[in-house]
Amino acid sequence: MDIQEIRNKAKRLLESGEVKVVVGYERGSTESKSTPAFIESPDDVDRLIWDATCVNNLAAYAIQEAKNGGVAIIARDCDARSIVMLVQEHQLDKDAVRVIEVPDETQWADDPALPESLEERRAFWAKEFEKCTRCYACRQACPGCFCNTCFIDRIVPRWAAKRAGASDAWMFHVTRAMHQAGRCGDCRECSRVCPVGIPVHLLAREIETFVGELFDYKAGMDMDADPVLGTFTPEDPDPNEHGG
Amino acid sequence: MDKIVTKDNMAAWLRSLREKYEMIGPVKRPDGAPEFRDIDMMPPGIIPGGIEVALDNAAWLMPPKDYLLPPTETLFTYDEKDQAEPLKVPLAGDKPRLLLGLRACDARAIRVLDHVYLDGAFADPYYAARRKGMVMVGNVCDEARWSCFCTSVGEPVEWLKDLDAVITDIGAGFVVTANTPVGESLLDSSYLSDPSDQQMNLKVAAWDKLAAIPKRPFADKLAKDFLAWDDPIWEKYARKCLGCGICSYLCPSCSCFDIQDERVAGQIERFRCRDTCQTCYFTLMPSHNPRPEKKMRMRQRLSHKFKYQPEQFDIIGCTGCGRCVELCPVNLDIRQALAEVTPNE
Amino acid sequence: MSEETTTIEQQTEEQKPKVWKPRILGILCNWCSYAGADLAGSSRLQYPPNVRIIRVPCSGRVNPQYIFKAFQRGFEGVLVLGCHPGDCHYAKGNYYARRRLMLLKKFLPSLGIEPERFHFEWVSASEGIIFAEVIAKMTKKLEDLGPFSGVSVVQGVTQINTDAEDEHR
Repeated sequence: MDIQEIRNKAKRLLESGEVKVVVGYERGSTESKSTPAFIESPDDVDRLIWDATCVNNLAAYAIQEAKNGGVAIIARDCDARSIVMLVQEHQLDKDAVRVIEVPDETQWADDPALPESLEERRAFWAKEFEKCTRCYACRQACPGCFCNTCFIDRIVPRWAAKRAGASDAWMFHVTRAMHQAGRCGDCRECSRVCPVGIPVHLLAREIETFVGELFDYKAGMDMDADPVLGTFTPEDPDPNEHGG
Repeated sequence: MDKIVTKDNMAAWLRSLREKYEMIGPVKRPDGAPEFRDIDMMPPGIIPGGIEVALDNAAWLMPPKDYLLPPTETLFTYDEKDQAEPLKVPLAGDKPRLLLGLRACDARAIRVLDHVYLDGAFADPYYAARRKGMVMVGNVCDEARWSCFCTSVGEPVEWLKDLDAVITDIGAGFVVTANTPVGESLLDSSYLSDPSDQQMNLKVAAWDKLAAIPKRPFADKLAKDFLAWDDPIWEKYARKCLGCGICSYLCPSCSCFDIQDERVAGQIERFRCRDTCQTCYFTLMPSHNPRPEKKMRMRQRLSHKFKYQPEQFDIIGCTGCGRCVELCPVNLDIRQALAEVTPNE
Repeated sequence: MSEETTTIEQQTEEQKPKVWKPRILGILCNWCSYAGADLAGSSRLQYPPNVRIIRVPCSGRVNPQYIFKAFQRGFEGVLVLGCHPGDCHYAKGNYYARRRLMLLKKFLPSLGIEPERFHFEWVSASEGIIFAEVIAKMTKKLEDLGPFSGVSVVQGVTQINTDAEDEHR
């Protein structure tokens, strides 16, 4: 996509006063990095760039920036799904946000495959979570993690201790993934930001697959749809072992 | 005192040191990635021919501070059923540790930690037990990474001279320089010999190269009073900060911890674990949050390293290792912030 | 949940079974299933003594993280029982629970946990017999599966202790 096209769109949105800020990418502190840019004046749109270094899901800033007035966000498909999800979740007023769409050209790394046997899977995750530093970058980068107080930060009850080791980290990651059910647009920010390389996104992706199978639902596609776990139908799949 | 050890003899020499010391250093994992860890704990396959010690400037991710301040450290335990029993306080064992291959920045960071944990009336017994008898062997970086800025916050060559010994890769072998009596005792080995003048020249050249890493614009301007409390820069940088703990957890000199109690099956444990000033829970009081906004937490991190610690201990709390620069998910570069807040003249 | 955990530990302490028995955490709706369990008891129905019960106001109160927590602390199985669809005391709590918990059950294998370790169904206040059956069936399934090695086993070494463990293993 032509960067000039993005800049023109950003410029129009700022000039018309439709938005107060455009969140995009600018060159970072080295050639191989971009960094989020908050463009507030039409004169500054030339700072915007669009290339292979532009990897962040900028929807992470949507709530913060929408507080100051209209915000336009440069978003790939998966990032735009985050924004739709935030509207669905009533975290974002749909009139306060514009999306400047960009094609998803991200070079995704190959995903590790989950082992076949259950025992190996358990060991797989234990080994991954053993590395966890509990920096919570995965949570902080995730647009779906918008709780004011994360369960993991609660003192009473304490769901998991803030100690190193697979057990408590398991509790954190698994619960966080479950909380993302119907919210994850598979942007893979959680894995990208992880300093120790845990493939966190696989958890949420598994869940989204099952959400699709069970409830015929895909996260962040329809602003007017109810969040998948915030609604039900009487005909939903049922455990029903002893009959109704 | 300088000695030379050939690349062939290096492994044998290190192995001989392991008899006396628990040795921790940068090693290459089977997948080739460097890691700072207990060499004894490496799986057997890695050690036989020679310990695959990664003595180059590959940035091993986790800082050596983890061996002085473990990510989780038990402070005491007791049995709920047996409250008459005294608290069990685990302190580190007697076998001294040897930290091998410390980059100048990581070595200097341990000096920063020493001030925090050993200075004055509040020496920390857990840290002190780990630190006691610890031998530090440095390593001269061959190449600066894009994120490195040690020369902008101090003098890495001087930091190396502060260590027991320093290893310099000169291509055909390693020059090992002892700075202390303990360092000299390490060199007392048949695997090492006296270096030639030419080898010494190569060593000096490597040290000079380290000293010549280009300085950033803020270098030499880091006066204690350059960070203003209400500088708009805090807001500017905080805006893009996601509020994760990467910069502080992977920082070799960040020293803050949290204390938690846990009760599992009748066993009570008090432990401390990493904490970061980048979350709103940092030093949260029941009735007061000293830093409710991101910009205040941004200010805290920079001020702590570049203002409070210089005032308190006369040492800059940042050693320019570049981990926070390299690993920040949004490329929030501390060096740009420093360049902006330092006076321009 | 911390209060309940205390009770569980104390019970374990006193009972100390000699042979290995799976331990089940049962999370029961106050209005139907807990009454059903009560009925099973007052009817003197025999069922295996492996279940530790937490009473919740509604199956809709069951957050999946309760179930994760139970597995993290080493329970072999977790059971959630609620009112039949249409019978919820709060009209629709169990419908919400059904979505969540059906999803959770599908997700457990992705974590390497056998789906049989989690059981979820409807038991009304009059279904004391069904309650006893559910417990018996689940106990049998878990006995067949054998002990649960926990969620933190890396290469055969348990990294962190578990709560529901040991004394009787």
